[in-house]
Amino acid sequence: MTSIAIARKSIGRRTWRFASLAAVATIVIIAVVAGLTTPAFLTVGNGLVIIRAASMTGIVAIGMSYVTLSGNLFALSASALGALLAVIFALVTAQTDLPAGIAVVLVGAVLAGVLQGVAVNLTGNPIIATLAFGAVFRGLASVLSGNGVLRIHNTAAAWIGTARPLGVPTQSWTFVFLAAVSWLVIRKARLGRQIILSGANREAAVASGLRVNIVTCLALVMLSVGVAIVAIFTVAQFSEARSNLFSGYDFDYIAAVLVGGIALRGGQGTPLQAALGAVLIALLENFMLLNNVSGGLLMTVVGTVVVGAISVFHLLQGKNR
Amino acid sequence: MKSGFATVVTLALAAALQWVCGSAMAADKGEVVVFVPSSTNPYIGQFEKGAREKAAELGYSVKVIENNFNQSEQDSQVQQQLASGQKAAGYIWWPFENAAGIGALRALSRSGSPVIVSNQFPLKGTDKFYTAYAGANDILSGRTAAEMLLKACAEPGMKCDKGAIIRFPAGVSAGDDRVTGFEQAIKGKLDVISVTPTAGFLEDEGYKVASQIIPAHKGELTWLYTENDSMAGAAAQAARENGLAPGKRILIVGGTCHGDSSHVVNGDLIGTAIQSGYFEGWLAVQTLVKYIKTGKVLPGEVYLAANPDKPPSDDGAPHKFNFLPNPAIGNSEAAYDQAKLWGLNAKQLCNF
Amino acid sequence: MLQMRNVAKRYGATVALENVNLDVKAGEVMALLGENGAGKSTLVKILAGLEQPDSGAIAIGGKPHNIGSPAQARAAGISYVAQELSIVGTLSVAENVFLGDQTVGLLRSPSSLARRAKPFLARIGLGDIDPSLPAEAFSVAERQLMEIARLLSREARIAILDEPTAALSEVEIDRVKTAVRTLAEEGCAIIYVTHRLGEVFELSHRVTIIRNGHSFAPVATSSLQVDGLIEMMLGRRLEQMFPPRAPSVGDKLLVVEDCLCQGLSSPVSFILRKGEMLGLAGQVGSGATAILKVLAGLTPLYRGSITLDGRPFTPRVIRDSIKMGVAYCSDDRKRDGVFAVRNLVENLSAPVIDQVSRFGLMNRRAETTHTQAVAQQFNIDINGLGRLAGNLSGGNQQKVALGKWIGISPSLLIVEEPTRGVDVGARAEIYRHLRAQTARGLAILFASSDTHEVLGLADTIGTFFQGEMVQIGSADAMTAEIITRDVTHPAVAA
Repeated sequence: MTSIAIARKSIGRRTWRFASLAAVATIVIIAVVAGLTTPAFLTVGNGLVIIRAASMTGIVAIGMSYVTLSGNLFALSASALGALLAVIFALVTAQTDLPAGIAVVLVGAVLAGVLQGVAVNLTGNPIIATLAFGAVFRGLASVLSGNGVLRIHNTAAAWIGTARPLGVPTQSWTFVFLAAVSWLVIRKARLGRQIILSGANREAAVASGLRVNIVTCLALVMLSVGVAIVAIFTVAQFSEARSNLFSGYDFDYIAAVLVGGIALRGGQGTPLQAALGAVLIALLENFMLLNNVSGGLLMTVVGTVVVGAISVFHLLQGKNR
Repeated sequence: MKSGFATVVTLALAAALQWVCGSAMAADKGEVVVFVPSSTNPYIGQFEKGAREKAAELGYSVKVIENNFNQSEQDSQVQQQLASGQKAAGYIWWPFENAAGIGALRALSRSGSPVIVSNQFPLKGTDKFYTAYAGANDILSGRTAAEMLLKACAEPGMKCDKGAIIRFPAGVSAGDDRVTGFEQAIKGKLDVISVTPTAGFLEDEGYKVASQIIPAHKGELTWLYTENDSMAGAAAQAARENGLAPGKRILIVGGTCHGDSSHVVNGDLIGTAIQSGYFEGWLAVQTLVKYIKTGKVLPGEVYLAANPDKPPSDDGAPHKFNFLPNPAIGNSEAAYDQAKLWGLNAKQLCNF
Repeated sequence: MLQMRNVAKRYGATVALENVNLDVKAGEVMALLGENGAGKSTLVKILAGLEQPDSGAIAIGGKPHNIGSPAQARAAGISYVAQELSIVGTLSVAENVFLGDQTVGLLRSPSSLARRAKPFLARIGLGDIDPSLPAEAFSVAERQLMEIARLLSREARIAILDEPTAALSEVEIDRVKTAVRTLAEEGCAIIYVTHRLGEVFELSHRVTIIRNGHSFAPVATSSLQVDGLIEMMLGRRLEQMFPPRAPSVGDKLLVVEDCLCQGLSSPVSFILRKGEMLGLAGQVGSGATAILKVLAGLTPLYRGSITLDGRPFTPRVIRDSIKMGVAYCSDDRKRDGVFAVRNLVENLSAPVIDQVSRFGLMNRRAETTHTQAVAQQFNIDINGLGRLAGNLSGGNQQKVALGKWIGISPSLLIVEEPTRGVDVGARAEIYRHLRAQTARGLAILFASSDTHEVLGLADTIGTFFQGEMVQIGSADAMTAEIITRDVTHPAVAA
């Protein structure tokens, strides 16, 4: 290897490793600062509270990261799909039973993922395609629910929503479990490799014989399944669903992915980073909540963190290329 | 599978179309045009229903124009409506963002047709742009919740001092008003440790904030006010998970009923109050028609009586400010079942 | 005009330039030569103000100059045409000519801007184009010329051209050459970076060679020979650029009969045998690559028949070709040849993911074994397989882009421009590896706009001009003159 290439390599590697660790490092810094200034912050109990607060956003963000990693930016339909799946889950569970509700919702999620994947492939524009689907999903949720509140009375569902095995909420267990699995998927599974390669260079992936269109569909299916899990948890916890659930959450999902430092262009990073991004945001929010920071400031800070994270990662990755 | 999906979409579109274009039937006294955010919000759905039924009763047709929680969309809808040249009997204006919608409100007011503002209490200095306000009074809602809380605190064996408020997102004027009303009523009697905004109005958001606030102030919290019952129910869940039994160790009040009465009747919440979307729409139309009939607006405000059986009369001139009552309901099965306003019961009115 | 003395530049622990001197006179074309990574790019970036040297002095017109930023470079009269085009497709030609020129207000009307751009365009042979059209309406060569027009508009005293012809065909190159000569005649000092030795001899007055961060004293071009030049660049004897041709070839593998497709104006027929290398010579747009794209499954066949190993072969997508054992490597490795942000293991295993995974999980051991085997065949450092592909030199990237296909054990390898943007040393290596593969029975079909490459590498040569195959025959019967004539003005000879 020649000298310049070696020089660039060493810079690139160091920065990339740094980028991957940045979320963790920031979490540690905030934790220390917050712990010193806010007594209630640095306790095991509060740590669990933060994981729980991050879990619902985090599960969707993990799913979203597959879409981003596969080179398809973001799906802007996640929150609307969540509402639709929540409504369907409540309807089916109320009419039949819990297993049927879960089964129908998972089938619906897969279907929604595939349909959106087809649309993304046809239009070549994930943002517009999923935005349109978002409107369809929200509209369907509204129609199916009759704009009312759908209640379920199901003890098994309530258990899923409120149980705390070993003192930790089911939502937190699921979040941690999915984060671990998602890391394995990207690092060890064939599909993960296909997602990464499709995102790293779509043309090269096609030229290498990868079925990029199918990979796109599968990434959206995985996102939809994540959304379905969150929809089920939310309905189960409060025993009700309505069509305006999760309104405005898309920003949170995207923020988690970005703060985690996943390359916008795709092909670099792991879903674990999105999970960490969600925890980082929850950490910030918790810190400000405990210090009684006003809502406007809270939004400003979270927004600033997102902008800062994107800028830093963009700079680092720019050097890396 | 795909064709099944297409069918659903078609049905959805058909249904949506019907909402927008429907109710062309009956009524030739004129058309009332109602601007509201999306009826995907069940409360707004009830509002529309109330408006339609009252208008039909009084012989008017209704055209509802919804936006997707987007003020600029609503503004352009106003422009299109005015440009269409169709003369409306009157307008009902529920802006998505009160302040940002002033321009559109002003344009409506210049059309010559009366404009009734509803739900979002008009900002100062905009008096000239609307005929009258008819709808909820959020200060009253906060005050009602505070009164319920004070009453519960007075029960023997209850200890009330410090507590927290979980409020609607920053910038939501209803959230400001309810906090104001609540704080006015508890002044000198209870301490507020923190006022924390959520990112939404529903259970999941309420839970997210309550599950973080409660453990942080576990030793001192004796009450929680959450501005609505959805978040109150979720807060009760969070309290229980933290070992604070709602109704015993901590008193929780939301103050606006919704469809799920379980948290009220099981004593998780100390009670609730009827704020009916249905009657808010109903009242807006009634106020409009009262003005059309009399051509007059009485100055000042009126709190309409919370008569359990009889709705207010259609006769006479409206006031400038016509407020919907917020009758309180106790936290027992019997109290909930018996609660009524203007001839409808709580179950019917709180169905959102 | 320009003098650089003892310039050094380090990146961390690595020395990019150790001691470089450069001297360019006004009105002179100075060719800057060196292998990829020798330090040419760093040197050029320092002059353009994109990088700062750690030590050394730069003087312009005899006065010491500090070039701290691109703006300072421009103020000093230095203009830089980068390897990557910086023409904005959506802007008009005129706007592109004056892009970044603060003296030209953006409020100026399009017509007056066009009028001002016209003379600059005329000087480089673009006098007949409409400057108000968007730049994307023009070919790569024309856009390259627009870059030079921009350089003219800035009245540069010193012009740096970094491989301006890398993506151009020979006829187009002539237009660039003419433009460069015009610039020099007007008194501009020109630093010309290139890999094409032909251009060096045709265009430059003197040559400065850079090797491993050191510069050599400039040599007058007229005193140089090709072999000597290459040896100076490599620092060793170049045994031979091209490996010997195949001593014998095997059975028929690919039979193309009477085929017509997009890019061809009359049908072509040819036969490719196992172990044979068939080179199609032609300039961009000549149709030389047309049939390659059909075989790769990228474009449809309009008529005619293709058989592979006796069976009909009609791929509709790339996957079809790959499944049939046909590998395709395009002429743009950046676009679809390598995954720049992924490491070499993942690059090399990309076409064989299904083979190195089981039950949906990647089999790391199988993958490592596979990629190491491929890497060894293409002389890629197996200890460096963890590096990102984007950090490799052009030559090594090309080895990866080609090498990954060996992994699918193809029967036919299709290559467009096998060594575009690859330096001389790596070129010889790639030729050797390709020849080694044909010795094992692989058939290779390649297209190239480099006459010498086709002549030196192929066993059989087809020549293309304006969508027609001019002739096809054994390479032994061909000469550089015949090929050049065929691909430029075949009618004149006929």
